[in-house]
Amino acid sequence: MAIYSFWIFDRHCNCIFDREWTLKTNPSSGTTNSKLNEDTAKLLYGMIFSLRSISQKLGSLDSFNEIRTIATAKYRAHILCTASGLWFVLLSDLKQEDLSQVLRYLYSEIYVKTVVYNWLSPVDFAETANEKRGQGFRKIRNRQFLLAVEQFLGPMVN
Amino acid sequence: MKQKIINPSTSVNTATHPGSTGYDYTMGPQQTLPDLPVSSGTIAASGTNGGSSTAASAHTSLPSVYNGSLHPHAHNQHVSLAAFAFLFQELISQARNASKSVSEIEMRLHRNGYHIGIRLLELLNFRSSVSPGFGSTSSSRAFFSKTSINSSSNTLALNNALTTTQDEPSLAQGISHMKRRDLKPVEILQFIHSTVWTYLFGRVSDDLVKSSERDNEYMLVDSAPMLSQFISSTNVQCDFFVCGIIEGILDSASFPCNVTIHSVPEPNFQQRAVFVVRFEQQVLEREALRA
Amino acid sequence: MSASTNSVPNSSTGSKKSLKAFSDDIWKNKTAKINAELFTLTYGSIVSQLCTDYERDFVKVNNQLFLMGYNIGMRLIEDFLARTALPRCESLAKTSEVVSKCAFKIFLNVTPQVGNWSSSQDAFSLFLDENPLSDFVELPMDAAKELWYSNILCGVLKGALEMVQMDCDVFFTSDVLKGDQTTELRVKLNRVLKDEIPAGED
Repeated sequence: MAIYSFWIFDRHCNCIFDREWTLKTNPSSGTTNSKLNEDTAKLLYGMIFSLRSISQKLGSLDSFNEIRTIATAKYRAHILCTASGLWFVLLSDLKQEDLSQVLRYLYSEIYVKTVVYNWLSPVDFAETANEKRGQGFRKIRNRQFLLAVEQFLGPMVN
Repeated sequence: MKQKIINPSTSVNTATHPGSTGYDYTMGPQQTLPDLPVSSGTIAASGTNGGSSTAASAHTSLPSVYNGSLHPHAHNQHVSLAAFAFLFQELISQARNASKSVSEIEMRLHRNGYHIGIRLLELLNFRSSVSPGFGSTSSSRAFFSKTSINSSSNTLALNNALTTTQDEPSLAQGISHMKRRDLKPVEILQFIHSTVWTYLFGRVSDDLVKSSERDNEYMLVDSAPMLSQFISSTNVQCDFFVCGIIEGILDSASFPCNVTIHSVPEPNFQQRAVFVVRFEQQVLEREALRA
Repeated sequence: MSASTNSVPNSSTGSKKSLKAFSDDIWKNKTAKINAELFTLTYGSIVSQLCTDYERDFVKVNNQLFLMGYNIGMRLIEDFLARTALPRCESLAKTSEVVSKCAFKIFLNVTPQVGNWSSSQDAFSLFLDENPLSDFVELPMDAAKELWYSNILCGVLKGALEMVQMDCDVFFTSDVLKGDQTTELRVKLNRVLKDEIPAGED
């Protein structure tokens, strides 16, 4: 069982959270290479965005055809898209067939409880119009959220 | 209806009283809104949308607050904690936006709670005076008729009560004698520890302790405060709202006091809160005279 | 509350039962609950505080309640979607059902009646026979004319629907607190918003 990374994109096409466990630049300080992650986030978003619009075009108009997983030779991406436009994405090794329950838990028990219920945390991370459409840079900084994600996903990392 | 003692807000009499515009002591307080239809049948609703209301004469008498039953089961008993949490957060934001300092925010929350507290003392005392069996007998089942659709637990037993809506007995009929007023500080605190806490949070508080240092001081302990559980990393004590509720109840019971909250985390209960009730000196003096 | 019965236009009756059972199950088994009276009283203290703060300028109070509701709606929708896992609705008729039978049910444990559809099917009303916000409320004389006591609900719906890309106008047209026969909340769909796409993609 191995999870490589976890990403959240908001309705403004911005990556509002990323955590990559495989990048270990400096384990003692816990910092990851943020510039590299930013590019990866854009590519990941682009891949899901394209495949998602194709899969929706392939389905009939009135039926609901949401993309769930994408597999490559190296990894599998697990995707949860909510009706409100949030995307939760987990990258794992190929042994993970289905992580939809894990994604649901991340959404309903962690994101909702620590971000949505927390009046100190924003729910819209684009503060101005310039930060929409993938131009944003703000992330979830909420300590409770970071802690809960680490506690929940940490054991699944390897 | 049978003869009625004057018990405002407790009867569920839906009949209207022709020509009653002033206060009628045999009826209790009446709805006083200016544009309410005065009596059923004769005068059609004059409201903004009183289009085709002549036929629906049965509906022209609107229920007033005084017709609502005080029975806890006569209304929706629960809403989701989520709905409350969202509302509570807006209450806090509102207080925050209108305040310049942390203590001012807390004072506003306290005041919001206080206004709830002063309303609760009478209501809860009244309810705990109702004899335990009342409401389960066939004659008073109609109490539940409004909610039997919603309240899952009662649905089976009360389905047949759906048809009866008129002769709902007053809750006051279930009271043989009113519960005595609490006179000692310990009594009223126990009332808060058990009755009030159960009413608000569905369980009794975790502890009620008397301070060993000051004899006017008592402590109510809540290991996991319900209302502020989703609020984190803030220097504002949002449970000042609950302090306000407690103080409102104690004040209206003639126990003037000051209630504050202190966060005392324990390993298993990070949000453990201690509510400190500090009675004014006059309460102790009165207590000394009574003894 | 008034016992008005409003005829509901048949809108996709097929899923009616299942949606109700679905919501009942969520309410019964998957929802943490709290005393409805505490909720009512807390809302009451918010409204009365606003009336004081705005020196009984009830138009301002209405606006502020709406704004508070809007903020709530933006968040509440996530909680709603997390618990129901519902996809976007394909029609406004479906939306009206989900709002009344599911959203109102699992948050407030009431189910307003849907009715009064506009001829172009772009607006409907919710009739609140029960309203947990206003139990035991009587408006003071000076407020009866202008104050929409439960206006926060409009804001909540507005905010929540906007988050699923439905731009709506939401407002009360009548309220039993004002002496009206019913409490009617109107929802009018202006347009369905498009999902944002990254800059440079269009």
